Amino acid sequence: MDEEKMRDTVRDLLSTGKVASVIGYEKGELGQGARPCIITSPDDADRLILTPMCKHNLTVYLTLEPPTDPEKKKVALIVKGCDARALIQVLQERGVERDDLVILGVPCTGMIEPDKLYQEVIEDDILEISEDGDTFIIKTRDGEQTLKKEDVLFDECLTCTYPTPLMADVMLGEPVEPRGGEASDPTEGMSAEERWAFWSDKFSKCIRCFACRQACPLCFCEVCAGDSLKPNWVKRSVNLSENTMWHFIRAFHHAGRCAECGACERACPVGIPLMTLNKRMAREAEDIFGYSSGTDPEAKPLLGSFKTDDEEDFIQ
Amino acid sequence: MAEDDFEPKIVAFLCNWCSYAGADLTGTSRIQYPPSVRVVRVMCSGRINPLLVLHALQQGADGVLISGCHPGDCHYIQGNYFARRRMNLITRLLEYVGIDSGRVQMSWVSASEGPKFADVIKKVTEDVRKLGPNEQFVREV
Repeated sequence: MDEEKMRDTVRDLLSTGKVASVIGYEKGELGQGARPCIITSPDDADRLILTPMCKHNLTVYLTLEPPTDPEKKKVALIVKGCDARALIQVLQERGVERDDLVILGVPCTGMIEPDKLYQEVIEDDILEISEDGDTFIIKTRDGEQTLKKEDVLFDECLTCTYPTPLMADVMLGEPVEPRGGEASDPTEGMSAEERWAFWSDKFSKCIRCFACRQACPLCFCEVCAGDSLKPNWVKRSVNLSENTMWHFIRAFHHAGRCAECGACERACPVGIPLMTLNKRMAREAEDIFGYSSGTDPEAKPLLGSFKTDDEEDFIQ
Repeated sequence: MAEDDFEPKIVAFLCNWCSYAGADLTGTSRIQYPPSVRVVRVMCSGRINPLLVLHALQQGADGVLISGCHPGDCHYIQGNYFARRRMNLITRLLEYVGIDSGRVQMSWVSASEGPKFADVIKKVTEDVRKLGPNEQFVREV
């Protein structure tokens, strides 16, 4: 992660007027955390940071609040490997125009899960986090602590298949090799009843705050099926039936689209393992249709295309 | 409820051009099939939003059948190919979450396959009868 090159590039883009704004990360108010920020002045480029705490998927801001002023349409965006996959998927679905974007790609070695980190180190004591090969060196008030990456990285990062952005105008750093781990599934080996017991327990906790939807860069439908009143797929009451319906809709609508960034699961206040569902659907799409989402902006959407020899063993 | 007393409610989405005509032929040929099925006629199997399938289950259907023209025979050339992809994914999702597989089934029935339609309904009804009433995520009234 090349912080200086990023700042120089951003400064250049803003001062030459190639873009109206840049979506990046800045230091959060507390501790070492990072938060998304949008800057419009080249002087603000120094505010931007690139650390292993930059967990947010910034692609979501392109579709969450697209600029209405045509003068301000040109945007530069900092993307990690998974964010780039989401962006490619959005481009494939014509959610944004490629010409309006300058993509600053960051080859990513993984992001730290704050909860895991703060189990090892007290949050307020951390002065600096630096990377060294397969470890993080955490400088604290009492000295230094070395932590293995596999102990503190997000689960999604440990099994990431595309750490280097597949699409970028400027690449900030050298390509990173994927770790190549296999995601574990908590329902592995369970019977159908056990799986339903597992998932109904998770779904019944849902409060339907729709944070998963808001955090997702691919949830940019004008009217969400979860909000729609006509037809009213999901009623307003929060109970197992309606929650299950919502999670089916969410999982199904992400089949063959999910970029596996993990933003939904991080946003979930009650800890539903949404990524397990998403990964399962991604695996199905890959196994049955040989389809990998977010890899080719010119590809056709999974459910908007077909092959005449698609699997049909399940049909009578 | 004993297995024998249970008469499942099955919602069948049939495409106008093949399966619905096939079902019609079953009737005009006086072939008997279980009265468990409630037919919803749609213009094409490609019109069936998978959310309709979920909706039917949520409203208390014990099983759902989707039936369309054989591949290559679609009145709209390719609608059933899209339906095939969607239904494959939705059935796998349901199965993964632990909704009894067998509640949602799909078939190709052409307008000349009256006996096949009766067989399909018999099979779906028997499968669902074995599973018993759908209680998994039925809407609370």
